[in-house]
Amino acid sequence: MRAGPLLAAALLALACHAGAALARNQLGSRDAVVVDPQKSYIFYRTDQRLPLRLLREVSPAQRTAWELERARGLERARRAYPGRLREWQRLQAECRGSQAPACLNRDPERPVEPTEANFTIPPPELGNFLDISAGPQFTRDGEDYTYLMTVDPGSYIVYGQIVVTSQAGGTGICLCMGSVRFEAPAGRIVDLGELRYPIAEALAAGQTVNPGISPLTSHAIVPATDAMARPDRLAGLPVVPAEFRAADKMPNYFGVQISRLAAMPGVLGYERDRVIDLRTGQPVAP
Amino acid sequence: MKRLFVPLCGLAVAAAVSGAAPLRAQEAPALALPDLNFTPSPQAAEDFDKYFYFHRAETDFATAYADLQECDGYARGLSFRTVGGPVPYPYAGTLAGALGGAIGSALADAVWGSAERRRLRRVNMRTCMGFKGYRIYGLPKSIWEQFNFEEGNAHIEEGRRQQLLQLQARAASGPAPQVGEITQ
Repeated sequence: MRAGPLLAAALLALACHAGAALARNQLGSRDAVVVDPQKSYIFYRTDQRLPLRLLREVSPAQRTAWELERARGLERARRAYPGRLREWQRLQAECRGSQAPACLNRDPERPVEPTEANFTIPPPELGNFLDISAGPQFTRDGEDYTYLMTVDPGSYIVYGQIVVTSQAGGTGICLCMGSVRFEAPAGRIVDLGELRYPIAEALAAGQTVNPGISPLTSHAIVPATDAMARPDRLAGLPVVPAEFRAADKMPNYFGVQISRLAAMPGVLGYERDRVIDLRTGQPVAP
Repeated sequence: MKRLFVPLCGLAVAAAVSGAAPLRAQEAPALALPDLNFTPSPQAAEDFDKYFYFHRAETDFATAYADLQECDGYARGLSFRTVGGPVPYPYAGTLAGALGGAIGSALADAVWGSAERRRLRRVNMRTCMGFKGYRIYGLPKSIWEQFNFEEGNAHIEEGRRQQLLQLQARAASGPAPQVGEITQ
């Protein structure tokens, strides 16, 4: 099994994604950088023009609101359940052998009584994803690119690169089996360092990447160092290197190809599939 | 899974009531695992990319079953860390699940093709189980199809899915395979 065609299809779809809704927050090569003290900024380097999806961690207030919404939804579903069951039973009784449209279209499955354990609503993370699009780039020098994105201050997890359409569902790659989180403080430009793509680099070099056998991952991050150049337009601005921490597994929200972020010395490690916080040597708490 | 569709963010996401509870390991019925020994041939090896199973030394059945359930969850685009029990609600209500399974939606099939979707399942299962340290062994299709499944145009019924995952867990935690290891 070779990952190439699948990865290529995913990357093609991603490259075609405009991400226009957030483009105004994504600074291009001619945009002046004026740091808003109420905002934060994410900066990184890469040699690929690809989008990046981040997940802003759900705040306690968001979690509380979601729990309230879920409780209300469950209550509504419980009130509706007897009527749904009666309707299902009525159709079951009336539709034996009938070819009437209402009978042909009826749900063959008996309604399930909603309970605390089986009732779900979309997770609160749904509204917290943020995409940095393939373009505009903040700078471009040959095949070297930088990106600068205006974001709300908070804690972010590197989720992967995803495109979701109502027609095709999701495509892309999630770092569902291990990643990193970092803080984006107000009034600061957070330098993530360099974003790399080990599988894509191996494929470009003519190597084969067999899922489940190759140890390569889709994404890697080389944290910012003093040796990494920054664009002149960031000179004199409050740029701080990202302080990464290991982040545990995440759901495959969009039903895409899975991977994980490559291990990062001193930050992120793995014992088989267990995500290890290398600052403590312990597994990351779920 | 029953869904009550509501509009949100321009997508059809939904509240849902899950009626399927995966079998627990101790509820495993006595299912017969086929004989996994075979005589290797170049013809059989050509299809090892499609027809394979997992094995890890010093792994018990319950661990293998939980690992397979977790990876199956990723491959379905639904969940993670199911730990041998019903899918906990925070992970059952994912966007993919609410969409009817982005991996498994008919619309996704129309765009990407169900063959590509089956291939994505194989990639995700292998990636996930590979991270867990399992090795991969090829099988002739005639043996493989006795305890495995693909998800093409239709979803496999949940009870049947769990039975097959339990058979795969028996293979994964059973005697070390003698032939068919895929190493590159």
